[in-house]
Order: sequence, then C-alpha cells, then structure tokens
Amino acid sequence: MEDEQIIGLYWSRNEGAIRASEDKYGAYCRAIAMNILSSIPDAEESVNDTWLGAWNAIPPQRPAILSAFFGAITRRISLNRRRDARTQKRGGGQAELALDELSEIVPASSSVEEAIEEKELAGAVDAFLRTLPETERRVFLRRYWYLDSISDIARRFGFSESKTKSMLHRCRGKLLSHLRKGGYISI
Amino acid sequence: MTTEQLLYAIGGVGEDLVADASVRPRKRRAWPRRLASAAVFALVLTGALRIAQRLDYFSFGCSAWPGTIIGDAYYYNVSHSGLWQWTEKHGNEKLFGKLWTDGWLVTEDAYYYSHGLTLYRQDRHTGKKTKLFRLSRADATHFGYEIAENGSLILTVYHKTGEYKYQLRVDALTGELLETLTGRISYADRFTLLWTERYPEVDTRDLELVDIGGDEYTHFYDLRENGVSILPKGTCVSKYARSIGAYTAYALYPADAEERKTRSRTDSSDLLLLRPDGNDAVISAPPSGFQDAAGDWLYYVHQEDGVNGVLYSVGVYNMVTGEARELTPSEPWQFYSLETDGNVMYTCVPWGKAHTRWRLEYDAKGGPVALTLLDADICVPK
Repeated sequence: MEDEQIIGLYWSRNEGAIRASEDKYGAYCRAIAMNILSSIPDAEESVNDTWLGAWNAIPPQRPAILSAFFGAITRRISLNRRRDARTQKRGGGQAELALDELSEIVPASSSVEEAIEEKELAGAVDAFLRTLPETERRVFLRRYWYLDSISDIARRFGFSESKTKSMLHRCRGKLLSHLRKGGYISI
Repeated sequence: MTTEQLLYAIGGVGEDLVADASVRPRKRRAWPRRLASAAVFALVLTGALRIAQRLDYFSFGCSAWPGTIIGDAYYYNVSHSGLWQWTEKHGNEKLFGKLWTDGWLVTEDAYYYSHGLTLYRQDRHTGKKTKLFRLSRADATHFGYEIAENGSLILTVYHKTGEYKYQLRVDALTGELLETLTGRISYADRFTLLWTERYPEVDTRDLELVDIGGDEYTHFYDLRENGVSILPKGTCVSKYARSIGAYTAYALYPADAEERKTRSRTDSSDLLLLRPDGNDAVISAPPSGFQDAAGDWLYYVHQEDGVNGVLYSVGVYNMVTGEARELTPSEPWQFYSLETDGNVMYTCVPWGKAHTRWRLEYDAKGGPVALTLLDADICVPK
C-alpha cells in the first residue's frame, strides 16, 4: 500500500491504518526499538504504542515521509521506555553506549542554560548534519538516530569497525564544534 | 543540556535525513578491490621474480667459476652478488652488483660491463664511466663481447626470436662502430663462420680457417697463415678453438673424411698449440684438457678413481720438452678448475663456492713441483 493511502486511512479514522502500518513498517520500527531496548517484549510494546501515537497525531499531521515519522515515534517511545527501565535497574543496549559516546559532546560542567528547547537543539543538529558529507551523515544517523551497533553499521557500509568508530569520533568532534559556535555549549 | 537531551534532540532532525539514512547503501563491489590487490600482488611478485632472476637464483650459476688474474688482482664472480676483486693488500672488494650488470670483461685498462643491451666501460685508473653504445631491440636480444688484439671490442650480437647472430667491431674507448664483421647468420646455418671463428686471433698473426667440407652436421677446416696451411700433413681442425692462457689450441682430426668417420667427432688427443711467436707445437692433451698456461708450462686437472672416490690433482706439461708431472699440494684438496699466472694459482670446484689461493713452488730448474695453500677461501673476509 502506498504511504498516501495509509495516511488517508489515518485521516479517515479507519483502523485498517494500523494494520497497514504494521504490515509495511512493523519490522522497521521493531528494529529501532530493539536497538534501544534490547528486549523483544519491550520492543513489541513500543511498536504497538507507535501505531497508537500515530493514530493520535494524524490528523492533524500529514507526514511527508511516513517511515521517518513512524521511526521517530518509535525512537522516542523506546527511549522513554529505556529511561523508565533504567530507573528500575533494567535495560542496556545501544542507547547506553550512544549516550556514553555523546557525553564527549556534552560535558557535565556545561554552563549553558539547561533548558534549551529540544526543538531548537534538534534544529541545530539538523543544520549540522546537512553540512556533513553524505556517508558521514548517514553513519552518524545510523548510530545516534537508529542506534545501530557499530558492527551493524560497519557491515551495512562495508567498512571496518575501526573505520566506523573513527568516522563517528570525527563527527562528534565536528558536532561539538558546531554546538559551541551556536552557543549551545560553552566550556 | 544533558546527553539524554541531545539524544532526544537528534530524534528531531529532518525526516528527509532520517529516511535518507535508512536507504541501504549500495554494496561496494568487492571485485575492484580484489582486482587492485591482485594487481599489486602480481606487481610485487613480478618484481621479486625479476630481482631473483637477475641475482641468478633461477640459473645454475650458483657455483664458483674461475676468475681472471690481472696483475696482482684476482677478479671473480660471486653467485647472487656480482663481480669481486681480491688483492693481497685490500682483500675482497665488490666492483659490480649482479642486479645492475649482466656480464663483465676485465682488462688491464678497463672494466667492461653490460646491462641489457647497453655496454659500459669504466676506466680502471680514473674510475670514469662511459656508456659505449646501446643495441636496438629490433636488432638484438642479447650480446657477448671480447677484446681484440688491436684493442677494439668485438660484439657477437644474437637475436633469439629472429634466430640469427652477427658480429660488429666497435671502438673500445668511444663505442663508435668501426666495422660490421659479418652479415646476419641464421642459427640454422651450421657452416657460415663468425668472424672470430674464421680469423682466429693470435697476436698479430694472419690466420684463417678455410672450409674443406664435411658431413651434414660438421664441417672441417684447413688452418692457413698468410694463405699457407700450417697444419701437420693429413690433419684438419674443427671451428672450435680453445684458449689456454695466452695460447690458442685446435684439436687435430684426420683430413681424410673416410678416416675421420672411424673416429668420434670429439675424439682427438692431439692439439695444435698456436703461440704468438709462431713456435707452434703439437702436443697430446690430457682427457680433462689444459686449462691454463704460464711460460712453457700448461696446467691441467687430473682425475683418477680412488678407493674413497675420485682423486683430483693438478698436473703440468712442458710444451717444449713434453715433460709431465703432478704438483704436490700442501694439503689434500679437490681440484676442478684453475687459473694461474705462474706465481699463484686460484682453484675452485663447481660443487662449492670457495675460491682457493695457492702459491706455486718451483724446483731448481724452474719447473713447478708443488702447491702451497695460502687461503682456503678468499671469498671469506679475514
């Protein structure tokens, strides 16, 4: 089924929209959830919650790219679930590792206003990503958006793991510099 | 801002970017990489083989071979290494590496050495190097060279695919082409002689081989000086001359074709020894052949089956008196090839790599009688 048709089902409040979403994007969203949660039942719940989230968001939204839209919902739900699990001493997976890596960019002693609007920060990261070469950008997003493991990224792009790590390291350095210039971080 | 906030914020980047990152990158084709690796490997392998080939690792030239004595120096080839010089004063010195030279010729004035189709000269006194000439690939695949009595260089040029050979004379100092000595002689042509075969050089004597016919494989020749035969009556020679020190020798065969048929083509024990002063002699050659000469004495290696294997000794033959004797070595030794100037002798065997240095001992009448070992292997630095 075409994305436009699926969106049409959501708009017409047809419950077939959820089945169609599951058929077409279930595996995609499940992979994102698994990367974050490392637990099949938790991932399954996240995906189910994704369709519910989409049901609530459409309308009024009309996503331009349905896969990214669903993926973003799954990602957020899974991160939330991971955060809750962590407080209950559960969890793990790629999200922890990704956070570790991102802590290079966000030092504990950051003196800038903590409450930067997430949307504003997302805009800055978006702008930054558009300055990167295509492959670096894709690798960065696979790691920090999809939360793929290093070995999966290396396999996907045909690189060695060390090359992948070094590419991500360079990207984080560039992002740090970009955020500093934008005043999001100052040390 | 916390890392968690950043992680969440990354989730808010443009959908187009997220979708773009979900596209599976086109698999990089493995074959260009493998092809490049194979090409590099082939290149390295070819280079290694080429170097190994140039250093004689694929030939049978890994044994010692007699060198050349000039003055107080001995020049000899060291397998996989190059041309070395040994003198009592300086010991071993490497002159030319095998990697960059294909062959050498040492004279009192110069070293001549070749690389591919190019011949170089290095003056022994000044060290000045001169590129004498370069043969065209269209005309040659390889070549040999020798120094003529008049000081010029005679090149024997071969073309292995064209299957022909020819000879040129060039100036030994400048490389200028002086004379084309022969036309192209086909490898299949058994009877047309090279210039150096037809006109054997013994000092300034005017010698020539004249074809008297033969069978379909071998022709025989009359040897004439100033147009007059100098062979013993009823004899002839083949085109193959042997150098024994400064002398040139020919094996003598019956001139009569019928009589010749009763003998093996190589069965000849009589040698005509041509001397620069014209005092030629007919002598009986030992089975192993004479290897060198100094004064009136010819040197050869004598082999004899003993209880514990083959016994080797050095024998001498006086070409004037016909006297023959064996030299007594100061130590039991294996002899096979020798080179002498009448004072010292260098010996080596093809199953070893050593060059051994001996001193010749003489009796009161001036005849060599013994060998005293001076250095078992001059190749080993002392």
